[in-house]
Amino acid sequence: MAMKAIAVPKPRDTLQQSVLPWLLGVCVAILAASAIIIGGWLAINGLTSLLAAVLSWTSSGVWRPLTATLFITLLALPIAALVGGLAAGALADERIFGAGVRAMRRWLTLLGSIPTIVIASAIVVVAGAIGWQPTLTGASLAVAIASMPLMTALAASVIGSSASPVGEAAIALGASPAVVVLRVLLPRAGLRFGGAITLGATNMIGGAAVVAIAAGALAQGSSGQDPIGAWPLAVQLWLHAPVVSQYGATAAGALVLTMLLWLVQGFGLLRATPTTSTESR
Amino acid sequence: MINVAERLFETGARTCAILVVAIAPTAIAALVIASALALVRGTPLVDAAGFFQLGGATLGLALVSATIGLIVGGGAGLYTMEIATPGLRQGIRALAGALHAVPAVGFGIVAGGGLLYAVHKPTAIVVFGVAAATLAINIGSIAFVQMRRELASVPAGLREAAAAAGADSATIALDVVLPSLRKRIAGLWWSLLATAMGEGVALQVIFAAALARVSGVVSPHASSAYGTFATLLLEQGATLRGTALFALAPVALTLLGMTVAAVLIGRRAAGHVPWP
Repeated sequence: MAMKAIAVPKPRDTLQQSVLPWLLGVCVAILAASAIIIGGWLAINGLTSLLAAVLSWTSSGVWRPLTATLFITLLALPIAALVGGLAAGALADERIFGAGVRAMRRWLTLLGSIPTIVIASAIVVVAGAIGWQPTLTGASLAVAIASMPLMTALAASVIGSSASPVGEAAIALGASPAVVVLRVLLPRAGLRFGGAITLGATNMIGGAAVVAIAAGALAQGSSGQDPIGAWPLAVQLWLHAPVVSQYGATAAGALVLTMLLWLVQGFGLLRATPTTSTESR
Repeated sequence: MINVAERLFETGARTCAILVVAIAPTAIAALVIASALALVRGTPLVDAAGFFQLGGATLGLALVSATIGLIVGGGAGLYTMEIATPGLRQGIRALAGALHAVPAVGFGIVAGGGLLYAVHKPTAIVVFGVAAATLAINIGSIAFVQMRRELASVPAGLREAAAAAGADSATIALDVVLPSLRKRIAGLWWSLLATAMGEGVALQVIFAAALARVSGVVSPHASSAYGTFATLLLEQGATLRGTALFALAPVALTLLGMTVAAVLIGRRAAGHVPWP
């Protein structure tokens, strides 16, 4: 029998050996410099206006827009998390959908590629056809719908990562799908499921497109800001970004929003405990 | 014996899964019907030439930013996780985390501010260059996180075997880990391309700032001068109300087709396209 020769890789030459890690270092430098430049730019332009923005209770300050952000998030997040969590539970136990579950999982990954702007456009087209003009309350429903695929994917990955052996053991012992999901998989996912919800919340807090489209942020005579009377902070920043005279206030708002997202994201990552050795490095 | 609560859970879970999976077909159906109605009415949002111009800008910006973003973010991820010392790794991860926390509108405000305060009025090439660079950094921060996730999937035994054979960390990263991830990185590029095509907020702020700097007109409607499908959808979606919104549908449907095509081609080429 002919033996197949094992190809021994040739050692790279010294130049290549030193240049490639150096190029990777340049990539790190670009990313790090971007973070410093963005943070520095917002701080330089926004710090002088930050105090005025923090002390003002008008819609041009940060508190009312933050209240609107909180309003949207508090309404949309429980809906998206509940539907996403339950959907992920259905996809975790193959007995709930049978053979169709694999197709549904593949379809779900395809859903992730659809831009939220397109989903928001479809929602607002339907709203326009039936003569509905959403306010912030209606916009939060649009945000919840647009976030459902993401929440499902996050929840499915958290539940799925702790599924195989324990879930199979529970099924072998005769546990029903509800028991497997609720008493075996979810408790094992534990805090990481909370982390997934927190990460979903950052998308709602930082996202401007869905609310702007659904509530008609640029529409004439729009009452989209009701019932809070202010746009969420991300939408507020988007609306005023090109105005030179208000640039300081806009930069201050962007600084506040970034800090808020950084805190929420950090909180989410702390809860989402890494599972692999590489992740924890 | 399955009790009522368990049966309720199963029904609820099944309903929710169907609801989530039905979002895309429902959106497509609504957009197809609205497109047909918009065509019958003859009130397009843009003419044919404008449509191709927007499509070209969308694809061009997405191709450039996905490629640069993957190189920068992926390369930084590889260096951080495989080559950097533990102290340096912590520092890079903190900075990358801070960059990842910047919302899309924040990227737009910084780049748009640069254009607003520029000494010279920016030309169209400069505006698209700034837009591509901003989107590339935004995408790069996503690529960094995705690359870390892909690196975590590489079996530790592979690294240990290479280390036992005397390879240093750079050799392991470039000759062992990177080749094992070739297909997954290709899938990541397609995922980033789809993400870049759908990004509208940051680009719209940049285009509006450029328009304000060039013409002195402060208007959120910048897509008449510069734009992509996503920025046009954002502007017009936030402006139009009632049945006038039907005019959005052909643009939304085209963008949807482009992003889904990117994922499907990516799946065929790379086998797997990760969630953006």
